[in-house]
Amino acid sequence: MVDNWGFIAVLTLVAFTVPLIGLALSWLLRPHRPGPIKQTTYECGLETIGDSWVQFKVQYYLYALIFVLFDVETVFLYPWAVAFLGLPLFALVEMVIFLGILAIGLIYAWRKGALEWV
Amino acid sequence: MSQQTVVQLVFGVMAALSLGGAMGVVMARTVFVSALWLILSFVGVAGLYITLGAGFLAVIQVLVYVGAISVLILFAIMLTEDVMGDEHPNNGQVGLAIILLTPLIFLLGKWGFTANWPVKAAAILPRSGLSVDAATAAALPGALKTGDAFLVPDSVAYLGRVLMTEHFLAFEVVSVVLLVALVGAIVIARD
Amino acid sequence: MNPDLTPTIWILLEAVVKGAIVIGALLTGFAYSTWFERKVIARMQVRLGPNKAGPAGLLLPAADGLKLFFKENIIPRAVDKGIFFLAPLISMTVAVLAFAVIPVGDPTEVPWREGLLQLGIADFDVALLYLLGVTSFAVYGIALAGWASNNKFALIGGLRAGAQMISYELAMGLSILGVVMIVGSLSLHEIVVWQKAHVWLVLLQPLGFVIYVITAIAETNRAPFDMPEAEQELIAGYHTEYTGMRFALFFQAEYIAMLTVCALAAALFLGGYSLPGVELPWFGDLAVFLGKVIAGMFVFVWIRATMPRLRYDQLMDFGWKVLLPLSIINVVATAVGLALYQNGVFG
Repeated sequence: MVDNWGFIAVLTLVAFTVPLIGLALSWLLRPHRPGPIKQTTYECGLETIGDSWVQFKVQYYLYALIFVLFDVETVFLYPWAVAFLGLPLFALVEMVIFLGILAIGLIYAWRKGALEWV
Repeated sequence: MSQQTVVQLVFGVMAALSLGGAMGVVMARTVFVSALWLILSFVGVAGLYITLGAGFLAVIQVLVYVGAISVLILFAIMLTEDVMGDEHPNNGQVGLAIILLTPLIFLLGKWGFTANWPVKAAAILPRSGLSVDAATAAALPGALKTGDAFLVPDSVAYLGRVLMTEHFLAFEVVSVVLLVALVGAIVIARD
Repeated sequence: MNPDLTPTIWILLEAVVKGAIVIGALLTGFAYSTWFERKVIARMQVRLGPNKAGPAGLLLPAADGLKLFFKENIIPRAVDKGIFFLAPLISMTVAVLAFAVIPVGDPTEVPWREGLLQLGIADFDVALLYLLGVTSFAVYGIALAGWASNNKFALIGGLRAGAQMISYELAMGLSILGVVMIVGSLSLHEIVVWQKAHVWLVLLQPLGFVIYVITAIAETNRAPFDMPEAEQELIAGYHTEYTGMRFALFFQAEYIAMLTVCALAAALFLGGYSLPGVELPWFGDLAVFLGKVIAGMFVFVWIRATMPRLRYDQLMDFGWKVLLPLSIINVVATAVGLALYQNGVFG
């Protein structure tokens, strides 16, 4: 168990180093000729108008919000699923109630138009 | 280098990650960058769970806090026009904070090291897949009976079984809490 | 030398070698996936595809790689330099890390080590959740690239990708649940072993498999779900401002993610590295595994060549209003089926 996480840790280091080496090699080999026009923001040759960091649609936020709640739900489902075989029938009833209550939430969000992209 | 040293070393790195991330959150130039430091802090905490042998909790920490809540925070920041600028919130109360927090950290550290932490024998799960005798199995609600021996379940199955038997009421209440949160969030966000 | 130290060093060495092998294999896989994709798409469009560099154009990936190495990196003045630098690294690291728990063969006895050698980096009782957790990091590589570029196209691409990936992550997580219930484990190796002993899970979880495949395409931002880089509207989406090696890192991450979801599909639904009724040595297992991944990649390319891109509202609707309810229904149906089976209804 501990071994396995150790392997993951080592892989993380290796996986981070390899692209760094690639970038460093390329830095040594490639030309460096920056210019004022080259370094402008790429917008199909037009002058950039205004700031990019502007306010965005609230819809993105709404999706993320609903996602958080269902993500937490999924987290509860996993231990249940692993243990499911070998549990009494009661576990099935419990889970149907759990899912049913959350399905109400999904239906509510749907009805209220929180899932509409407008 | 014994196992103990390795674990302590990893603990040190992870603690540094989570604390460094937390420092980053309060020191960062913009709210957006603060949110990024927060992610690092979450990852550090997940690492701490791993050193404690709680792999399930660690992946859940990443899945929920990094994969969901931080995305929500980033989206929330992107949706708020004013905070995207390159502002530098300079806080004049840094000195005061240091004066107040130094004794607190000292005290917490002292308590942490000197306290006699109660460890319940049953709380430590033996390796999964091991066969144990009936006495040990009695302390493990998730143990499976196979013939004469009892099999130690893997940690997730164990958790699932406990959740579905002993704590089923709390489990159902969670779904209601989530539903309330969902309805509340939609009502607030749409107004 | 401290006698305690020797095993630790050996394990460490094993970990590094394994990591290097996996990354090398993934990078090679990436290179030849691009060749494979061009070749297959060309055939589907009645063209020849790459055929100049080497036999059947087989040297083309190498040529592409070299070209990217020598390309100048243009960093626009307006970008946030630190995050601009970090984003492709995050994408690449996460893509490689996700592959860590994929089993490519049965644990094998080796002379230099006590115990069995795990074929694959690691395997533990939360492997599947680990994979989902790591994949949820992938959002950041893309969203941060979009944000740091300070380019309207890139930012919209990044945001779209973020919302799309979290939306489909839900259905993906739930579609896998049926498999977990049947096997009773989150260890990918155990899931494969179960299928070896019983039957490929695609037969028991057809709906789960279909949902998984659709969400896998969406999670990797491939056609017809490639909204984040819809070239007609967003130029190149989140990597518009990226050039040279940095762009290559995003490119690699995307293909490695494709390889990973193919491998995961094989492990969860298609018997992993095993063939029904045949016991193979480790290189046989590996060949079977590779065959299944290549078949998966073929489906990816086939779908790309066939399907037009979805509109963004259709894409979100499909995720939330079709796939999510369907995957919940799949979970309940599987639970009911298993409960009936357990209580002897099916004899």
